[in-house]
Amino acid sequence: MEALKRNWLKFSESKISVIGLVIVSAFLLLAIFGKYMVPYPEHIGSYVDFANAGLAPSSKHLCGTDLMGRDIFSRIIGSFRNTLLMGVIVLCISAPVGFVVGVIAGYNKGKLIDTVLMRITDIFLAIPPLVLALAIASVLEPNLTNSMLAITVMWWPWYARLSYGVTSSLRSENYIIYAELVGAKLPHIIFKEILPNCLSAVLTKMTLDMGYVIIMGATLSYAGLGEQAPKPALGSMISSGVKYMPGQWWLTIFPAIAIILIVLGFNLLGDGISNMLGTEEN
Amino acid sequence: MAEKILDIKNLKKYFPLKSGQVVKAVDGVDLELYEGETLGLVGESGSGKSTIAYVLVGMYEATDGDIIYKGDNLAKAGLNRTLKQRGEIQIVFQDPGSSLNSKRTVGKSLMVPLKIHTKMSKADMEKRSRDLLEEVGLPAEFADKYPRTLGGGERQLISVARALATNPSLVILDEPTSALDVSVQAKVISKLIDLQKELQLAYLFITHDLSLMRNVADRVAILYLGRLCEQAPAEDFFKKPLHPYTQMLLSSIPVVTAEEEKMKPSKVQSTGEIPSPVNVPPGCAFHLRCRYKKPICMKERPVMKELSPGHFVCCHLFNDDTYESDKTAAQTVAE
Amino acid sequence: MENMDNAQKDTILEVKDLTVSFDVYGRISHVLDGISFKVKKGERVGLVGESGCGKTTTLKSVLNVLPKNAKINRGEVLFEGKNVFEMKDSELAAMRRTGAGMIFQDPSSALNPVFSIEKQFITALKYAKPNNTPTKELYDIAVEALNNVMLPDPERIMKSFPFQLSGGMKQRVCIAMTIAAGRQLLLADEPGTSLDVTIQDQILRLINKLVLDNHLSVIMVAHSLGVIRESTSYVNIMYAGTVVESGETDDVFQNPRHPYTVALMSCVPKLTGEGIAKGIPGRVPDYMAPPKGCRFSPRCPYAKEVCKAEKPQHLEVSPGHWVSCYFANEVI
Repeated sequence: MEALKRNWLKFSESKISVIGLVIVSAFLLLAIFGKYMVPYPEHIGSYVDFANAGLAPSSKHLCGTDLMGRDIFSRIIGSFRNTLLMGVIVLCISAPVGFVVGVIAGYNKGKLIDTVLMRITDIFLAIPPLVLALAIASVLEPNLTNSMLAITVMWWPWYARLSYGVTSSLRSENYIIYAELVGAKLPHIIFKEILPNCLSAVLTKMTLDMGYVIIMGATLSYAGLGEQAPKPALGSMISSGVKYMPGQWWLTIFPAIAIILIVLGFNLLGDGISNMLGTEEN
Repeated sequence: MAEKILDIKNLKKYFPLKSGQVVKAVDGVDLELYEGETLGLVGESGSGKSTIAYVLVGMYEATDGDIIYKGDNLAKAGLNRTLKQRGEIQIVFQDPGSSLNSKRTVGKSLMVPLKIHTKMSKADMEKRSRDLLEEVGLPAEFADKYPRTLGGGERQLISVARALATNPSLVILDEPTSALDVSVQAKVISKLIDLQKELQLAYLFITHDLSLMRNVADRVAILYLGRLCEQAPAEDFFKKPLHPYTQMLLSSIPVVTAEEEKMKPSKVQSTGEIPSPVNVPPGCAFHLRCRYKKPICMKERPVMKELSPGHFVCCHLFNDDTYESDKTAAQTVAE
Repeated sequence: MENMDNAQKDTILEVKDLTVSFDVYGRISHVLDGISFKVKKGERVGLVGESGCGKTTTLKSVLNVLPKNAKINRGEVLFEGKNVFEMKDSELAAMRRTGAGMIFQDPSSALNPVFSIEKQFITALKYAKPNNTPTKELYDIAVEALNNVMLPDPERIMKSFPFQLSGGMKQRVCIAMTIAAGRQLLLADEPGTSLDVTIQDQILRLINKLVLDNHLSVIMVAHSLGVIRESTSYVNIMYAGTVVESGETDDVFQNPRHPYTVALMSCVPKLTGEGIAKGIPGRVPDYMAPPKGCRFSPRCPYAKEVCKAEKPQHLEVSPGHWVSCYFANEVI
């Protein structure tokens, strides 16, 4: 309890990370329960009401309506679930894969396996991520699953680099040396000794990365390679509205603000977590 | 007579550098260790004292020479030694901050050797790790604590407990107290002495602290740039230090009483610095800093000579052929 | 009156009843509790105690470089008669440049690895010497200073980068830089601890020689009683943020009167081989909730009720020998 309180004090030392926490919590709540809270739940799917098409923001439609007459506010909230899903799935696959690659390479630093694994990682890191993701997503059928796959493929190397760095510095710690000397097996060393020490760095990076993965997903869907109509996605909402700028600005501006807020939220939260875990030793 | 358990003969450990040069970290060292005794291995940085420890526990293979432990030669075994040999030679590291995993409880750290070296059930291991804590004088409840909540001395005692888990007969203590305050050091050292008596342990005590060795070691050996300078029973050693380097080392120790001050060789003052082990000077490695150096010291490496029972010196001043003519010099040194 | 003035003139630094606490995420850590000591011109004063006793915090207070979560609750630090906590920024900067300077434990981190010694030395001197002193002159001062710390071939040292020098040489460079700026008070924070024994001995002898030759003052901070005995003339023994005993170094080492000093001395391994003491029972107190009376009382074999109730005063038990203990006359 005492420790929890101290962690909260460290976290909230920067008030701005509390804002991040609030934004992220709101996002998570809306992603899970948003469907039941929005004013026009039926507008999230394929719904057409040309009578109300292209209305400017008003008290009835907070963010206006799109060219099919659907409430933009409802569609933004409705897109959150897939947005969140994308972030979670991409990170839950790329983080463990990257961790194992990085730890094995870092533990065998200087040996052949280190060179092979890290050069492969470097090759992935050398290709501009968006180009790689666009290439993968366009070769495969454009849908949510494939865009997640594309992002995952270009995301794991970052985790490999991170765990490689942590592991190679832990390599000279006496407790790792002791474990080897006394005859411990590799799985014990990786999962019992190294993993707990990587955890805080990996968790911090995952929080920060949520925002970036969401941007990447929105970029793919902006290019038409993500979730397909009529399901709502922030990227495709922006891309379909952008040609009506600046006249019907609400088509574009509100989904864009939603993206900015979400990314900002995760970044601020990540900074707060890194403050909290980083000063743990003192 | 206690049984000889370790016999190190002409041990060498070289590290090749990328530049083609070779670091001769340990260059021909002979040591013996008997059951239940403490051998103090004293040297400054670059003397190769830690390298000897790491070769003994198997982190490195020796470049040359023999390490006979209870009849088996471990020099080339590295980590390919048997589980029994791993358990019998244990080590306690210098840095209390890095010898325990800060993300695991003390109890879990203590169970690592038990898991590998015994067939105990989980409950038995938990009980044994608590017993080990009590054996080194710590409360059993420490098993549930994380290392960061404990002091440096407590962490070092936990490392000792971990080393004892495999019932070793030789424990290598690599500067176990040099990072601790003196009042804490005193606690750890007196516990180590008690444990040694109780369990008949042999200690290879590596340190740079000669005054500590005066109170702990049965025999003392001095290393300089990977070579032994002098080796003697502790009593004899401090009464009559012979090698010029030993004298410089003794004269440099800051002491707290006037009686101690009298024991320091007053004529010698510390000069110069330890050369890099990449460029060990030819002849006697110490000649650059030695105030008694003769022409031969720059050319020829001196050999170890037993001057009185158990008291060995490696210095040209005490050489057979020239001993007579140099008697005056040797005597000045001895005084 | 004249005597007063002389005494004032003689004293370069006076720390009076310094009490400092730190705010650690909402909890208050009472680190220093009424530290008082004086440094006269040309005097070598030691602060000795185990880790966490407040030695470094005291040094930082002298330079007024405490972290921002520190709070000075009471007391003052008078450098040449002026309270450092009330100095203007310009006065503080001047004091740090030419008045008092730190010699650190780790010389490697005290020098910037990417600049040559020449560059660092001359930059430091530029701030210390009068404006528009020609660089050539500064260079000469630097070479002279390196000569004074007995570094062979100063011209070559000037061209070197820190990584090309050994630890002992770097420490000599740091000492040269501190003294060349004209500083009168050296704050030496464990100056030999990270070095080998033989090199530490050389560095301590060097500091002693420079201080005596140039009539400088030094505060030597160390955890090693031996180092303090060999390099100071006056010593303050610190325990848990208090000065428990102070006096002429030889006097304190020969006749320690505070139970903590006695216990600490018994823990130091002696060359004469008297065996190893069992250590001091207990632990350094938690600064968040320090003992109300004497801070050593929970670990003290002589402690009585009064020790736990009220902090003892620092009293003179024999001429020039001060002890903070109710039973100083009963301890051996």
